[in-house]
Amino acid sequence: MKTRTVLLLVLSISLILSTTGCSSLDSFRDTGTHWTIGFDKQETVPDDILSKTYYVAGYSIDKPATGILDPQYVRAVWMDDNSGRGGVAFVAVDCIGLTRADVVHIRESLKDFQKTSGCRAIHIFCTHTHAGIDTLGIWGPLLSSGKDEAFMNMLYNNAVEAVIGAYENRKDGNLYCGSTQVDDLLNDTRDPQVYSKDLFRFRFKPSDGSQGLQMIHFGAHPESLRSENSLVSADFPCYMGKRIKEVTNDEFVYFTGAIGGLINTRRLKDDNGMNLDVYKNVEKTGEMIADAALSISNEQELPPSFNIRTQEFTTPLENPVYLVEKFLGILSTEVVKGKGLYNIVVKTEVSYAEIGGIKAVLVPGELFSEVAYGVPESFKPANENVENPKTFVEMIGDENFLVFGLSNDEIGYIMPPDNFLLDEKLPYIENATDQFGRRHYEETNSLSPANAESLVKALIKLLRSVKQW
Amino acid sequence: MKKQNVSIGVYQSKQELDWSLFLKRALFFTVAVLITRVCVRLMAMNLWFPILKLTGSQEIADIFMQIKTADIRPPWLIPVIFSLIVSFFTVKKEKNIENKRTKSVLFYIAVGLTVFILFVITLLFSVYLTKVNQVRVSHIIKVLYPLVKSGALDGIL
Repeated sequence: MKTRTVLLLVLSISLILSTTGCSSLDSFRDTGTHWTIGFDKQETVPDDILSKTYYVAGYSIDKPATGILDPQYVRAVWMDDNSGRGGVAFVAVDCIGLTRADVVHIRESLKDFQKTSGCRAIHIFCTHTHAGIDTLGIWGPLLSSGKDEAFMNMLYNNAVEAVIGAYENRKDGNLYCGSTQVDDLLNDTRDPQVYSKDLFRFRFKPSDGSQGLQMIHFGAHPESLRSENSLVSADFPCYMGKRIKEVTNDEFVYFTGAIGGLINTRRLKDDNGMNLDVYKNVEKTGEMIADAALSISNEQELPPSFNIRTQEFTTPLENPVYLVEKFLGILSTEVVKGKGLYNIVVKTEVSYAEIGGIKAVLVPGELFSEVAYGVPESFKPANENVENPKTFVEMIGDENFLVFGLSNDEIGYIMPPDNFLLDEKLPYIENATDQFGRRHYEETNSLSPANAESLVKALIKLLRSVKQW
Repeated sequence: MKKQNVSIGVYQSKQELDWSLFLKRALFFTVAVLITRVCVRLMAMNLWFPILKLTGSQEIADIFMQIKTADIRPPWLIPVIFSLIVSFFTVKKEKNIENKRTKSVLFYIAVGLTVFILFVITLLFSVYLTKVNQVRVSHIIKVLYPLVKSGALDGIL
């Protein structure tokens, strides 16, 4: 009798668990009837830019902005596959980065909107322009905040307005996706030379024939203006968008890919082989990227299906500079008690999406392409005995996926542990040099060598939950 | 008759419970915890002052002035332990203070000094374990002390 009862109990539990698993999977993958997409943008430039001190973020600290080259924007896209699950808001901010605390603040402000609109999720991305106003706080005078509270409030409000605007401007239509390779533009400043030259374009064509939208995804640091510039700018995405609008009248949104390690655009040269002036360089770089986007000829219509799921995770904070900046209130990164050198971990998140069948991983920082695509066998890393975690390719099963960088957080560089090297005397402060004479700069802008491992573990959990791995 | 006597005895022992002593101790304990925590907060907020005295650098002191507006959370356990000890040993039954020994000036000085030393130790430990913007002061000392001592930051700060 007892055995029967136990068996019955086990069977019931198994049934409940399997049902939960199925419903979890079903709620992840679904297809709707048609696409409904909306767009809005908000200019994010303070009125007192010339009279008040704002710091330009990206290069050296304590660099006040001297004017505006082009305005920073917050752009939002509302995407609904009409599967009944609600729409998803993607927000792209022209700035160096936002922490998860900023993202949570914006999401909290949109709580009522989410209830009324049925919004399923809000994801906030940063273009990582190196000519924008400091939004992280670490580019002020030494160990003093470079963030301006009024500017941050304006940015939060604009993000909220842009999401609501995108929802209100939504229209039915068709979504297409195509890609091309951008040759002879990207530059990898750190070996091994692993990066994606792919430029992806999601193009929305409203059924009523009104203005369309082009969502461009490309993996390069927007730093065509280089370090000598002190004017506020969105960098090349602005000039890319201008060209796209001139040619097609479509609006645009720019999303950054895996840019760690360090992928930027090369300095363009004039007809005489001389370096272009940085202001011409940024224009021409943007136009080259726009021309690549406009040349896409392999577009395919995407089925109305937008599946996305997020996984929270923690990663150790071992960088003493970040720790002191967090202590001083300069960095707003959310930390809790956990593992690592100081028993402090950063709370962050990773997401996995399938947009019309196109797979995408939303990572909370500047991902080294090696973490996503792997390291060539010929490359000798600084720590040969250290094993790297599984690559995204191994986990997802193919190379056809997008990496959205600086998604919902900026935790710095996420690099493979086998090539993570710290200076012995001043770790995270001075650049280390390895046995091959290679400089290790990116480590100074990372949380710890465990970043990639923590991210991959969370991604494995996420992919298993959607039966992708 | 015997039973009646017993019941009277129980009644009398209940009457002997001195609730005012517990109330006094509880009040003293609460006030001590609050005062200690306020002092810890004030000390953490003004960390820039000892730093200025130690380093002699106004620039470094200015950096630490930023925590004046920080989210400061002193630990609970240490002030609670301190307040428990102090409230238990200082708030006593009045009849216990009747004898000559406890009335002497020397006794009051000894008690006062012990309480003061305990209070200072409590404050220092509490500040060391206080969380400023979610990061413990102890972590910052552990990070900065070896760097400053080795002179590695001389060229930076």
